[in-house]
Order: sequence, then structure tokens, then C-alpha cells
Amino acid sequence: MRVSLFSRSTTRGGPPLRTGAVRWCADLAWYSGLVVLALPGTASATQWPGELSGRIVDSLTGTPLAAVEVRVEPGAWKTSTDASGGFRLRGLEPGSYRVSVHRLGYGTTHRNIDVRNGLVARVRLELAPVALGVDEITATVDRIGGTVLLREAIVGSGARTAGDALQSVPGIVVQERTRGGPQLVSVRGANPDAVLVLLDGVPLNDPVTGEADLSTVPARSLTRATVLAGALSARFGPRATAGAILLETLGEAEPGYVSTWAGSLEQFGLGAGGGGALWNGHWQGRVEGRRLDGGFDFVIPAEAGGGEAHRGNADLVTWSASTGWSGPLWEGDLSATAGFETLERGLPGRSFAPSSDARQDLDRARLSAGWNLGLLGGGSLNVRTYATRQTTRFRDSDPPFGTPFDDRTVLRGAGAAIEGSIPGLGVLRAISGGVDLDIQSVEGDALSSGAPPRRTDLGLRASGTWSRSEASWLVSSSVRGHWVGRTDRWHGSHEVALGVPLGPLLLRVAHRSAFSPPTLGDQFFREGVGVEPNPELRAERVPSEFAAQAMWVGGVGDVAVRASVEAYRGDMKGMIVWLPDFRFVWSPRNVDVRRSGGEAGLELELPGADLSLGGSFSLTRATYDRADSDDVQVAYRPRYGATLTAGWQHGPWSLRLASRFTGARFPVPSPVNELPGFWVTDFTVGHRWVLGRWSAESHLGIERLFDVTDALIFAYPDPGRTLRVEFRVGPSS
Amino acid sequence: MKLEMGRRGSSARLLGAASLTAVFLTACFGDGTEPLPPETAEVGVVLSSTDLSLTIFEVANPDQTRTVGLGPDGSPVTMALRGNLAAVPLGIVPAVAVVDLKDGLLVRTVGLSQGSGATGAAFLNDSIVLVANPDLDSVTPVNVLAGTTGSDIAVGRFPQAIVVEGGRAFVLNAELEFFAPDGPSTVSVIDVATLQVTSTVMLSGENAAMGGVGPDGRLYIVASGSFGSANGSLSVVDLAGLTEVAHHPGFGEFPGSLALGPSARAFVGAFAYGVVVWDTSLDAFIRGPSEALEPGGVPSTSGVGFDDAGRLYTLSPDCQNPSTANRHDAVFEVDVTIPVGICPFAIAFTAVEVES
Repeated sequence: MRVSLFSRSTTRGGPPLRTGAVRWCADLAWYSGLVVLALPGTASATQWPGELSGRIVDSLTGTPLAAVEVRVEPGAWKTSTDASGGFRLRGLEPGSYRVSVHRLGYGTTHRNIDVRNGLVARVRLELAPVALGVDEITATVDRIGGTVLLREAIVGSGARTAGDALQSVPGIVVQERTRGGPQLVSVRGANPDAVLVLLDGVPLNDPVTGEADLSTVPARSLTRATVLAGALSARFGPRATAGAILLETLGEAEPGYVSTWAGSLEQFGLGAGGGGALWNGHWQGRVEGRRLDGGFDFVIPAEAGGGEAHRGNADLVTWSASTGWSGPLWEGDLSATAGFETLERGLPGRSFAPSSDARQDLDRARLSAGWNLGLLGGGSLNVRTYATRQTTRFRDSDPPFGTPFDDRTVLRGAGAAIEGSIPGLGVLRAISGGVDLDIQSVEGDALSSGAPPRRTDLGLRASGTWSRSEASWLVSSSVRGHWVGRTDRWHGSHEVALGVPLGPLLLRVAHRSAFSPPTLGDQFFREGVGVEPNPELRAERVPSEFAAQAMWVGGVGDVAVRASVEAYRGDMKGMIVWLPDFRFVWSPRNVDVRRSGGEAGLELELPGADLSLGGSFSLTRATYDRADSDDVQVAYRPRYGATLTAGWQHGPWSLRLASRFTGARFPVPSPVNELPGFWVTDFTVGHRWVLGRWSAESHLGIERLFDVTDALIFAYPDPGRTLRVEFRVGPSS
Repeated sequence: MKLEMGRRGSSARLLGAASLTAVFLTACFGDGTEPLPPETAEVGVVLSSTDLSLTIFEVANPDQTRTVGLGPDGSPVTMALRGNLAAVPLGIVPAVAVVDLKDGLLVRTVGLSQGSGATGAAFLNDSIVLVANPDLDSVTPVNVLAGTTGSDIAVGRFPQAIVVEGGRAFVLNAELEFFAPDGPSTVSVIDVATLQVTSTVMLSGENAAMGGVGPDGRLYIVASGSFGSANGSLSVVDLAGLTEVAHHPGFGEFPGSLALGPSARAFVGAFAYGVVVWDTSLDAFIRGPSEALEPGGVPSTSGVGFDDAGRLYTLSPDCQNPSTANRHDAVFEVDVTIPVGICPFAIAFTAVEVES
């Protein structure tokens, strides 16, 4: 089990912090400048009058999409994209146009464009794989093996955080030790630090622990969450050893709203958001605050001696805000987001050894921008950049184990990526390549004096796409060379995938490799009582992963059906696991793990009954690679998981029932002391009223309807059944 | 009607035959005074700390092992055995796991005071185990049969081992502060009858970790010292005068286990070098740290013990993979290897009842 808590249980001391409002504002200004400087200069005006040139790409992969229907109104202009995803309309009168694009298997999106005399108006649009058009179906499997959660599904699920929203995804385990506490995500049995999480392109993974805390991202802020399982370093760089999660807050403009909610555990929240046209594009923004007392009475498990106790120090106060703008800029399209999250919460610890004083503070500001330019001839240029500043503080004046601590970590991070693509020849449809640079600066009391203050990563990537035609087989490949400055080493990773459409059936096989260097915390946390860093740690590697997927989308009578099944095998070399030595001093160590398994899902939509049904099953075989035994599951990795969902929507009413199974798991690296599996069921009911130009919604959500108190991790009790009532009002759209 | 009578007649004859048989068997095999004592077999028990388990093996047939989980959390490093029962303090979990060694079952887990740090235990009788609470500077009597606890008894700082002998319990106080030695160790002496601390013995060594009573009736205590300081030592306490009568340095880097073997020999195990042999009658090393026994060629061990036949067992301290217990022959070569759990920390022996 990864016990990141130990990395925080360090001794008191360390250099004084150089934080403060002035310093923070200076940092932010510097990063803002960086973002602006990273954008290319103004392109020169071209000589073709009244033209519209565009490019449509897959929002997940960036792959150009051919055969996309493009409509431009007024005027009923119509065309479709070529093999490179490009299109061009000439002879347009100067004025404002609405561009609509649509492709089978994808959604529809629009953009308002101004065409000026003597200029080429350029537009780049991203199309997302389409979900079934029913809110209650929470997830859909996209064309490349990922799972996409759209805004409607996220909101309809009653999720409070991004972690809540992702719990229903097959193959995902969200580790939450208390309601309102950190939420770490494990994909296919890997450690949470093997999952790269990007929020609008900004890495959320903590530089010290390598883990991303999904509880810091409000579910309501998300327009889309994409879960990509597999060894994806070739596409996303290090940290994506087991998968990547892409969280996006910018999308279709949402009508303005104000919402408030209250419920069990003395929770209360307020939120507001909106969007609209701004300059030539559109903006959107939102703000949300949430507080939670979190205390409850519980029964101490018999295995820990039994008895009753009160769960205290489980409170949370958090605020978040984000805003974004997208629109044309300098012949291309710009999308930019900014966000801020702040929270303070108690860390109550284990039931048998509670921490009454342990606290966490987090402040994070982030900026990100992407600029896309469609080039003549079907090429494209894509520039992305981000900057972030994060301060975290963990403190406990009277910990149950070890010595008091008060550790602050200040992260400053910035990155930029440039990627270009050009159309190929013949079956070689497109070639692309790019370079990305990430720089992180870390100051932290929790780190030893030997910790490097800065980390610089440089990645080089090249990819190609081969296909005979849009409807035939497709081969995509990527290769990445990645230089890790801290170790001054190059790491390689690759991905080769073949997709074959057979009518409604899509078959896909892929072979990949990935790597992830140890985190600063693993190697350089300050030595404390019972814990010791391990500077000799090696990178986690997935040298060879094979995955096969089949997806079928169709109908049986009036029932819309989407079925998918995927299997994989990808052993992990050097998974970083915390283990004690003979002195009972814990350290992170490299352990080889065999991984294989699969996920299967089925979604049904019965329009006649206003009913949708879904279910999934996952098998995750993550076992220690030992000479004498190959069937000991890694600690706290459930081998089996399942979900069942049912939704009903009729008129203003909506009902949703979602059950989730967490399979049996071992708390230790041996097949003893097994914790039994358990089901939990969440229920939500909603009603919508329209009052003239205004609409109001109310939702009642019941988590753990049947009052199940089991938890994934032993000694972190759950309060069982809780209720929440939400009321939301805004203009009817 | 005839049939029914016939049945009655048959029953009477059967009853008579059974009675005669019973009389015959009693006359031949019973001594007529008391029931036979239960048949027992000696078992070895290994406590593995990382996977929280006990491995039980029959000494006469060490190829057959049984594993019992102690619970989902904890950091146990010590245990106490008596007859069919094992009591295992769970370290960071303030509780004692009680295991039935005969059936191989976790019987119950008895809670201790919060923040106990439960480490070190010894049976006072068939039902009461005294458990040390190093983080509370106390010990707690636990009724392992009823699952109840008595009042905590204040002792010295950081008690982490207990030895029971002659109606007294000797609590070895390591005198640690934040897990580092903060002065010489002490021994709190508790009268088992009254559960009162009657005296305290001052020791010379630091970080008293393990103790045992030798055939000479003296209490031998291994002091681990400070990690990295190579200042391990052996104290000898006269149980009549309750004084430290000898203190022998030279036990090197962090010795942690002790087994008092036959022929006035104390075997002290250390992770850093293996097993040293001390002659308790001569007060001298037979094999010191520089020439320590290296079980299986590995200069390290995490536990030592002797079975009734006087055979030495050692534990291989692998904390990342399932490890082994090693049985040694008369010349201390490994003759049997027994698979155990991850990070084995203690080995002990007891006689458990077996089915006739």
C-alpha cells in the first residue's frame, strides 16, 4: 500500500517560508507574462478575400477528423472536411457567421465567426465523442478506449467532486479516507502517482507525492472528464504510467445559475456560474464554496479492539473559482482558463489512532492557454502553455505517532508544448511532432536538504496515422523521448494502435510502454520517526502493455445499446510501494507487479419507457511478481469491481439509482486478513420547474441509501447514509 | 406385538453387552483416579509483522504450516504463548489479538487504551496476559478468555517486553524518547498476585528489548542500544536481590532477540551480524559478533528460539517478500527451512492439544 501519510510525518524545522501576498502576486504576474510570451506573434494578413478556413480534430486525441459536415449560416454554406480534418469556404461576404460542425459518432458544436474583407478567417474546432443522449447514462466509451463523462452526467450523478464523479468508471478506484478528505485515484491496480491528472491542461499531481487530489476539483465546474486507462507516456509524458485523466472546465457556455445545498454532516454549499459572448468568443465562469463539519459517531471495528467513538476533526471549508474564454486570436483559436482553489480541512486519521489536530491547507492558482492554427494545405500548429502556483501545508501539533510537524510546500510550475502536424501521402494520413517543456520549482519543509530545488523535463514526440480510407482500418503510432533533468536520463515510450471498424463494431488493439520517475517525496522527504527516504529508487516502468478492445454501438428494436469490452496485460516494473525494513522503518521501495485484467460495460436506453440502464464489471489482477507465488494481490487493490445504474426521466422528474461494488481486498502484501467486498447505492431524485424566463431545479440525493458503512481502507470509517438537498435557479435555456 | 417384544429383548441384550464392554475397557485402560491429560504436540509459532500473521508449524512435521491473520492493521513485533493460546500485541493498533493455535483461528481482539503502542506481552496464568503499552508507560492485564482488561499499571518509560518468573512480572522499560534511548533502561517488578509494582531495577544498558530467565535463575536482558552506535549489551539481574549483577557490552549493532538454550548458553540475534553465543556460566562469548553464526550463510537474523529438543531456530529478516524460519542442526547448519510471512520478528514454541 502506498502510505503517503508517512511522507508528511516528518520532524519539525526547516527554513522560514518566503510566502505572502506580495510574493504570490509577483509569481502570478510572472507566470501571466510567461503565458503571453509563449503565444506566437501576429500572423500576416493573407491575400485571399472573404475566406473561411478551418480544421476539426478529435478533442481527446487531437487527431484530424475527416468527413465532418460543416455548415455556415446565414447562406446555407455546406462542406465537409478532408482527410487532414481541414475545410475551406471561399467567397464569403464580410460579416458574422455561425459555423456548425457535426460528424457521426461525435457531438455537434458551433462557433460564431467574423469574416473580414481581405482576410482568411480561421477556425479550429474540437469534437468530442458522443455519449448516448440520456443524462442517466453516466459514461460512454470513446473511440480510443477511454471513458468520457459529460457535464450532464456529472451533474446528474449528484457528485460533489471530480473524485465522486469518477467512482463509477470501470477500472477506477477512488481512495477516500473520509468524506471531505483527499481523493486519490488508482487506475487498474497502479499507485495513484501513476495516474496523470490534467485540469485544463495543468498537471494536478503533487510534485512531492506524485498524487492528484481530485477532491479539490468541484464536480460542478467540469464540462467533461475523460479517463484514459493504459500506459500513456508516449502521449502524455511521465506520470501517465497507468492512465491519464483529463478534466476540462471550458466548453459549451452554460446559462447562468445560482445554487445552494445543505445536508447531513452539517454540509452547506453555495455556487454560481454563467457565461456568454465576449469579444469574438465566449466566456464562462463559476464560483463555489462548500463547508462540512464531517463529524459522526461510529463503531470501531472488532479487529481494532471494538468500541464506539466520535469522528472529529473531519471538517472542510473550500472555495474555488474558475473562468475561461475561447475565441479567435491571430488567425487561430485561443482558449484560456484560470482557476483558483483554496481549502482547509481536518485530517482525522485512523479510527484507532485519531488525529485531533492534523490539518491541511491548500491554495492553488493556475493559468492555461491553448492556441491552434490551421495551416494551409491541411497542416496545423498547436501551442499550449500553463503556469501554476500551489502552497500546501500539513501540520499536527500532537500526532498519534511520531513527532509534531508543520510542513509547507510551495510549488511553482510552468510548461509549454508546441505541436505541429502535416498531412501525409497515400495511406500515411498525417504526421505530427512536438516538443514539450515542464519546469517545477519546489520549496518544502517536508523535503530534506538534498532535495533538488528544481525539476526540468523535456519531451520530444512524434506520431503518425495510417489509413486507407476514413471507413477502413486505422493505425496510429506515437513515440516519445523524455529527458528527466533530475536524473539526467532519457526515457523512451511508445504506443502503436490498430483500429478496425466492422459496421457497428469497432475492434482495437494497442501496444504501449510507459515510465514514471520517483517523486521528490519518495526520494527526498525529510527523515522522521519510523520513516526514511530512499534516494536509490528507480523509475516505475511498464515496458510492454498489450490491450485489446471491442465496442459495439447499435440497437435492438427500440433499445439503443452500447457495449464494450477491453482486456489488457501490462506488468509494472519497480512499482513504488512503502515497506518496512528490519528496524520497522518504512521507506518507498521498488517492487515488480504483474498486471492484467479487463473491463466490460453495457448501456441500454429504452426511450419508450424513459429509462436507461447501465452496468459494468472490472477485473484487476495486480499481483506481486514473486518467485514462489504469482497470485498475491497488491494490498488494497480490489480484484473485482462492478457498477449498476438505472435512470428514469419523465417530464420534469428524474430519478437515478447507482450501485457500486468494491471487491474483496487484502490490507497487507499477503493473502491473509482479507476485507470483504461491499456494495453501496446512491439515489437521487430531481424536479424542474419553468417559470417564464426562469427555471428552478431541486435535487434530493442520498448517498449510501442502505446505510452501508464499509470503506475501501480499514480504519477509515464512513458515516453511512447521508442526505443532501440542492436548489438551483437560473434563466431557462 | 411380537415384533415389539422382540425389539425390547434385543435392546436389553445390546445394553448388557455395552455395559460389559465399558467395564472391561475401564479395567484395562483407566487408572480409576483421574481423567487422562490431553495429548499435546509441540508447535512453533512465527510472528510476521508486515503481513500481520502467525505461521504455525508442528515441530515434528515442519513441512506442514498454517497461517492465521491477526487483523487488517497493526505493527506487531512480539507475542506470548501459553498452551493453545497466543496473545499478540498489535503495535500501532491499541489491541491484543488472541489466537487459538489448536484450531488456527483468531479468537478475538481485545482493545487497550488509545495510543497504547501495544508491544510486549507475557502470560501470568492460563487466562491473564500482561501487555505493555510503551506509548503510555504502563502495562495492562488482559483476560484473553473473557476479552476484558483490568486497570493500567504505571511502569517505567517505554516498556516493550515482559518476563514472568516466580510469581513476579519483570517489565523491561527501554526508556526511549521519540524512539531513541534517553538513558539507561530499567525493570519494573510487578507482584503477580497484587498487580502492584514492588520495585525497580536499574540497568546499565540502553534500550532493553528482550529478556529471559536462564537455568541459573538469573534474568538476562538484551539491550539493543542506539541504532548505528553498535552499543548492544547484555545485562544480568539477580532475581533474589533484584539488582543488576553484571553488564556485558560488546554485543554490537542493535541486537534484538534472545533465546536461552541448553548448556548455559544465551543466543542473541541481531539484524547486523546474525547470532552470537554467550556462555552464561563463564560470562564470556563463545562466538562473538565478529564470528557470529550466519544462518544459511546470511549474516542477519530477526529472531531466535529453541524447541523442546534443544534445536535452534532463526528467522531470516526479509521485509519485502515472504521469508523463512530456519531450523539448525547440532553444528548450527540449517537443516530445515520453513516458509513464513513477510518480516518475521519473533518465534516461540508451545504445546497444543491434539485430537486423540
